[in-house]
Amino acid sequence: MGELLSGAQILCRVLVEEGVDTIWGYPGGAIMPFYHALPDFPEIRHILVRHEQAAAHAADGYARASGRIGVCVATSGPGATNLVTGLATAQMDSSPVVAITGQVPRAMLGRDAFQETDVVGITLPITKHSCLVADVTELADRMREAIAIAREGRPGPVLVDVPKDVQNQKTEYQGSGVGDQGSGKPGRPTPGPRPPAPGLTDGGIRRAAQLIAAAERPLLMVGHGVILSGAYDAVRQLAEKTGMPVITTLLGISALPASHPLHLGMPGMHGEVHVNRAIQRADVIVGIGLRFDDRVTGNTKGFAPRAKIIHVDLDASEIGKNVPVALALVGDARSVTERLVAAVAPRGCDAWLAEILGWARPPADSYRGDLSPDAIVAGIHAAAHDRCTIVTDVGQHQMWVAKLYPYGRPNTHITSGGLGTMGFAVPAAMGVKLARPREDVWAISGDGGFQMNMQEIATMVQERIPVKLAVFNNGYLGMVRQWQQFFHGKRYSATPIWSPDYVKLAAAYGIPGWRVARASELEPVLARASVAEGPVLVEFVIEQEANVFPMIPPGATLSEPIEAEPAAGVRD
Amino acid sequence: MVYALSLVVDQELLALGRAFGELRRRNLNVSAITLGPGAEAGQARLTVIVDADEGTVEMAMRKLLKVSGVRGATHEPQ
Ligand SMILES: Cc1ncc(C[n+]2csc(CCOP(=O)(O)OP(=O)(O)O)c2C)c(N)n1
Ligand SMILES: [Mg+2]
Repeated sequence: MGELLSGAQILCRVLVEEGVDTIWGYPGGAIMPFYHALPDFPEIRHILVRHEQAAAHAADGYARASGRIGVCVATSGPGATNLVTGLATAQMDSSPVVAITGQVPRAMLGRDAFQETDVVGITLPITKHSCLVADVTELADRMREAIAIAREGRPGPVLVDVPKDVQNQKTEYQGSGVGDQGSGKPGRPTPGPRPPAPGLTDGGIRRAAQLIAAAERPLLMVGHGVILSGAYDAVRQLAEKTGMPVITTLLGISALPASHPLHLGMPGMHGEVHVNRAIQRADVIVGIGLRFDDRVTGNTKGFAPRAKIIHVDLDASEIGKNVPVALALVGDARSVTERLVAAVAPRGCDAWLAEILGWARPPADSYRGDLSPDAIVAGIHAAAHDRCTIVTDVGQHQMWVAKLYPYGRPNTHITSGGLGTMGFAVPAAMGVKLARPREDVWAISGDGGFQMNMQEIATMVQERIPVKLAVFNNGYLGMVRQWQQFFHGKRYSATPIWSPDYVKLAAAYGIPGWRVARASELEPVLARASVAEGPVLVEFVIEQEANVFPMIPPGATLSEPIEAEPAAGVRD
Repeated sequence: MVYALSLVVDQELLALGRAFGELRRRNLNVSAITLGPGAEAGQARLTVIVDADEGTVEMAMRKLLKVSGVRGATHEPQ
């Protein structure tokens, strides 16, 4: 006989059994039984956010930094709909977020009851799995299944919607290990057997090794899969054994230390000219754990025209989706890369690397102000002593940080890549900080994105989450303004953006705040921000119309960058 | 080209909804649908006739195989 527990207690119990110690949420009518049960589970720390979107991003940040699941909780209706952007963000970046939502009682379903929304329907296309649990006797197994689905294979978000009366119902609880995977109850999705991964044979590995051996200009391109599977060492060994230069996508950044002699940097829309040219000249590209996103490839018709692509990905549906592939190796990035390391013959690519580096040019000296993005990024790096994780928002500052910060340790760069969600950095950084309490965590945002979720400073203060907040204030939705400058005849429609006085804002929340407008102020302010114990806010007043170069115009290939002002290659 | 997509799905509306969601996202032109019992208890067989090019259908099939509640997916030109 198991214990008699309510649905709400079962939710908490399963979380504890699954090793969850931190959850992010916001209460409301339909989730009140859960919140009533929660204080009986002191193993779980609940963080009250100021907006449910932040709960989802914080859970996402926690998951990305810890490698565990991130959990968020919301009530029905508006609480649940507020999670949507966070779940879509997690889906696009393969992050294992588990959302628990309250729902109206079963008898009210389908009647447009107060705060009823079909959140399972809403989140169907933006989650890996979602379900409404209508029977308390199934709740524990449904929760365990959802958590397993979030974690297994290519990770992703899941949502479990629990009607209020199901949370209140009692049933006998069977601890985990007694899960009824095999009970054969009809109609219940279980993480059933997936079709065997095609394409990962010894022959495939051998063929890849041959292609690499025969190549004159091979490249390694690594993405988020390398971070998710912890394939850093294998990637470094593969690079060093073959001499292949390494390109890291936006979400692959920090997979190889920026100081490594084979590290080239980020490709794509804002990639350096020599990095993109290397892709265009390469004869073999080994792509590991990336999806050849359009921000990476530019116009796919002209992408890597000379290259045979070897694509390593856990997700078979990624193979050939965006670019034609010569050889597919479907499997976990780490295990496949380790097998490749064993199979490849040692070789070097010195001449090829020298050729690529010969195309590199010093960054165009177009910055007019005194406080350049380079100086700010260098200042943050110097103050943080590399004991630091950087979380960025979306826009120009994101690209500057991606290109300029010399990442030294794996998985220390966290950003919203696939969805490009403004407002991500501030709440996600809270999650990162709780996952890495002994490290500095900087949330770097633009003035636009910061204002999308700056209410979370209150959460940081109440819950003592000492995130260091940086705002790149250019008075514009800078990345959109840059596109308007180049592709819309400088019509700055709806992009100038006013900000509050950030120093006073910090004061209102009771945290230290500084405004840095000159390079000479950087060092002293960042030194003080570094040693502060609680959350801090540093505003960097930068030139309003600085641009991110180079830039591949929309629809163009990687061979057609705009390299500097003035708008030499205006198209579109 | 007309294809018959043959799916084995868990017998619940949510699994069907997810499977149709993958087809809808791609704007596939569906001309016929049949749903019947599957070989195993708790499973259903869903047949969908679509008119689309081979690449689109193959991509859809691979995505369908990832959908939770979809147990198998095959396709054949008609
Ligand atoms: C939620 C959301 N809305 C709109 C956009 C479109 N967008 C992309 S970058 C950008 C400008 C960001 O401005 P800011 O936060 O000030 O950063 P900056 O580019 O100036 O560094 C906008 C509006 C987005 N990515 N996300
Ligand atoms: Mg801005």
